Amino acid sequence: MSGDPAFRLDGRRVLITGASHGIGQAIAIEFAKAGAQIALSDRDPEHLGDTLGALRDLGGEGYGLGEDLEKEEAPGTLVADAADVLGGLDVIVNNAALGEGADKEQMTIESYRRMVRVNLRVPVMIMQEARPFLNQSDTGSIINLSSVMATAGSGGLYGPLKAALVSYTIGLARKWGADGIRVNAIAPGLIETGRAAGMLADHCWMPRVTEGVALGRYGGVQEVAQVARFLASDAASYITGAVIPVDGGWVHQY
Amino acid sequence: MSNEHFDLSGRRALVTGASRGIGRAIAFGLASAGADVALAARDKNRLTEIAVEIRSLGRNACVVPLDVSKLDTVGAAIDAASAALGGLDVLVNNAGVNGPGGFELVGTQEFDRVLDTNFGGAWFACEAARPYLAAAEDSVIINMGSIAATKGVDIYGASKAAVHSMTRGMSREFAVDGIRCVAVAPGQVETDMTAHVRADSERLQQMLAHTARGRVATPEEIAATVVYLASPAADFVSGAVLAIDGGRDFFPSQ
Repeated sequence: MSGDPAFRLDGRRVLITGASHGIGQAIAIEFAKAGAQIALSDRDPEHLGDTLGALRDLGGEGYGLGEDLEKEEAPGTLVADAADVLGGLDVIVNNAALGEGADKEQMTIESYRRMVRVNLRVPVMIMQEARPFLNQSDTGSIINLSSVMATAGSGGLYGPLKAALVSYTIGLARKWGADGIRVNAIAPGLIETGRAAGMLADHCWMPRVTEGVALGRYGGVQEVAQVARFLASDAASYITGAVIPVDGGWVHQY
Repeated sequence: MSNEHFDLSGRRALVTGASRGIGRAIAFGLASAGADVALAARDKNRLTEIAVEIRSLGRNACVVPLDVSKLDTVGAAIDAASAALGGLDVLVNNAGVNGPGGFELVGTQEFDRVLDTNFGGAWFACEAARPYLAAAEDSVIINMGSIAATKGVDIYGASKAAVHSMTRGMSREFAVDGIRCVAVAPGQVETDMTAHVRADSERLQQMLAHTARGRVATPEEIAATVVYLASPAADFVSGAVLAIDGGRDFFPSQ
């Protein structure tokens, strides 16, 4: 795949939120392999050490930005800082998210606010703040990380907010298509990260969660990252407003 | 099939956003089918007028002043409605507001106003109503979604996508308490809320060209579907999001 220039991301300036571990980290590594320059964010910049180290080992360039996305002004600051260190922006990957809280049965208004802010309001604001930069790019593209739980419903707020992000993705794709900006989403299923596996196991009514997966196994973070890379690349130049499931066949039991 | 399948005699229903449009029509629809109705909305005077009319049908009606976007007040309103009706069998989360109408950068307050009214208020109403609905027989939650969720229409569509996903998730989570959860997803309906859309004749014509039925719905048509979903006839319907959009398509009709 890396041999075909259509799948390369050489020189692309990319912002990835929540890149210290899991899917976000895998996307950063995959994008670096494809030649991208990457700005990474995490609440605690020290958490980005592993990812930045991996990027260095690949000979790639990475910039760590410590930004607490729960802060009101965070989206604007983060986009401005990323555009500053990279000299512009071509790709946004909205990956950072909060998992279902332990209090999903009796949600407090405070935890509702946190979930809404981090899982929906922040990505929406980041996209809006990034628009002027993406407008100047010839390859402007946004990738939002949703979840199979958007369609299935999660019992908590996670699924509904991921569904909301998908709806916004589709609308934005229509609205910004004329400017050549592509907006897509990925809906991972059971991926081997602590969060997703725990949440899905928690919500699953089947004895073994992988029984609901056609391929009968968990997915790896790199299997999501490779789809993100494809969506960011010229190989996906006619794909926008799409929601790509990466779930090993999240088939319904009959 | 006999009429008793659609009979709501002795059922106790709460309708949010009951002062106007679809909510008002739902309140009358439920009462006409035999239900007692608690009317919730911000405009107490309008609700009082509607309550008088409903009582003239021989049903019990009570008024519960409520702004669902004030999330910390939702629980008390549910308690009040249940106390007034002697329990709760049907919860209709209908209250909603328009979004900003575009994909421009909106302030966090505007974002929260739309999301809290259309989604958060419904979420907390479901949580607060759950014990009452669990205590009742054959209880049901009916949420107001929108086809805007799937089309992608700014924060409004996103908030309605969250409602659809919540409905599916809760249909499983609340099943242990014997509570059904469903949603309706209207297209263009003749209400005050969307009058500005129809005032734009070019936009209206374009919309009608994409609607198989070639017209706009009346609030009563949406209410009729809600009455059906609340009735014993719909006892096997749960987790469904029913589109009532006259056949809206991406392609213009002939």
